[in-house]
Amino acid sequence: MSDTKQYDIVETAKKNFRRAIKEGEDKKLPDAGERWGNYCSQTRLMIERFKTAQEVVHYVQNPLNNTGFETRPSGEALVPVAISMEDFCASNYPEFREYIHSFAETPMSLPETTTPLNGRLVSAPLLWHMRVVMAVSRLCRPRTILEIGGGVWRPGARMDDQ
Amino acid sequence: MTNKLHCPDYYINVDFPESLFFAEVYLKLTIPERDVLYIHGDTAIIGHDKGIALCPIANYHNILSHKVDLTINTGSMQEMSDEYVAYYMDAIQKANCDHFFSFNYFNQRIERQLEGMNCAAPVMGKDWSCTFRAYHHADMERGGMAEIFYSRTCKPEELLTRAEAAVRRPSPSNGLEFLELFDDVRGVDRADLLIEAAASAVLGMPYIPREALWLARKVQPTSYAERAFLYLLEKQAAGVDVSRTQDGSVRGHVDGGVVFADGLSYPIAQQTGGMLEGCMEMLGAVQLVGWAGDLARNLPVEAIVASVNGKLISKAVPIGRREDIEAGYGNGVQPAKFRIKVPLPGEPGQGIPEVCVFGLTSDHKAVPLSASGLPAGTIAHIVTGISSKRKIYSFLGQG
Repeated sequence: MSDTKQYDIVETAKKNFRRAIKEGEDKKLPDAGERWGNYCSQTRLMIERFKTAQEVVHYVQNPLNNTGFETRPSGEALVPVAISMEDFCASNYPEFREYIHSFAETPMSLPETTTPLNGRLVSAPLLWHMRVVMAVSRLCRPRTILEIGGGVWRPGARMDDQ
Repeated sequence: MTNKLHCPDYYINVDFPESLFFAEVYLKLTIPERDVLYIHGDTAIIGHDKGIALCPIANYHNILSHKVDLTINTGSMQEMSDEYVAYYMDAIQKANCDHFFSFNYFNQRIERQLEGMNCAAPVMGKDWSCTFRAYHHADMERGGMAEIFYSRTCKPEELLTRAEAAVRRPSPSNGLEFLELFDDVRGVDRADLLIEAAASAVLGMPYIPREALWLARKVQPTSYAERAFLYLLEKQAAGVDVSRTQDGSVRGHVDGGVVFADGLSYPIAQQTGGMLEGCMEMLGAVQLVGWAGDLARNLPVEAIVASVNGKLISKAVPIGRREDIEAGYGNGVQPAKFRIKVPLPGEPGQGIPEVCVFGLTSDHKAVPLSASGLPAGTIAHIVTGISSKRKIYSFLGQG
């Protein structure tokens, strides 16, 4: 994707963000609390500085930035976590084993937070998401889902490949 | 991102605008062929039933009438404040959706909440019943996670029968048994059943789970026995350090214009070191929030200490930035935000404990924190007392 297109994505997201903040000011929302209040105020400081979409994604995925919106083990620590999570899904949801390989991380994610596993790229959030999809799919197959606190990228993982 | 297992037609993500900023950028970068609808206050969602929608929390109530097959929350409700949990529970109750899936922390030790910010979540309305539940234990330190599928199928007359049967069962001895007990009694208002369930969990579980406190609080106790039971649980929870910034082992005292802390002396400086901005009362403790900094040197303080009646009782480190403080005093004052829990001696109201709060600087000075509305340089005192019916906490200044 070109730099111009990436710049446009970020500028549109900034406009949506500013408008959402303004709309929220008129409504009496609960206090976000210490934990999320801190993460949000740190993020507000950063948002206007971003230029490209890739920069934004890498920022939020970098464990050192501690944005709170994603938790990503990285480096060598990731490998045993990934193996353990995938094994858990394979043994606890055997009826969905054939789908495990269809859950794959995008190469646009921060490289140190991804690892190759059984022929594709994975990350800890991806495997957590896989577990949730399997847990839900065993119980129901909803056509419309509303997720509270969906975070950064769960929508993408769930919605792709329709 | 090639999930072949299950892909719904329409997905709505409700979150903080800050989180949605990242989601929007991520989605448009990685799957540019998908349409992403951002729901503002005037966005018409009628007719939208395919694709992805991002909805800031402020506009959640605008879409409650939209038919949704399943609402879910995973791994975050326990990190929300009680106010936000209540906000979401109210929205779920009003939503045009009859199923809710939760995968969240459960059965954490009352004194070790880790990332938890509340005592129990989710807590569904009375017309929701659990049609599937599983408990995944991590370890004795972290507790575990509860995987629960709720449907709006419960008849009110079933609540009491189910709760009565639950408290007749043997005390729970593991996470799943406690989950079953908790879920079976959460919807009733009868004090005897709630307190029985909480006490059963305290007696049966290998440690006191924090949801026992939620049950005891719901009782709104009146008898001495109920009040004492709640008091003891609150005392346990008062030791909780949700941010892991607090050091309860601090030793020292305040004497003659000097703060003595862990063998070091910090002369009290004649300058303000920040502000106490909030005080949350709890049985056996107060939780103070505010900001602190070494303003003379444009640096953060190394620690915040609180004394009760001259004795150092707790210590915390600052966590979190304050844009307004950095703008006003210099960007070196970060992190400035802090939260400190101060255990109080005895029953509230028995005597008036005097609480003083100081920031400790790296050049070994103690900078006093003021309370809102007081002149800079004063020491903040929190005076607790009991009026005829309710506890009062107020800030007073003293030069």
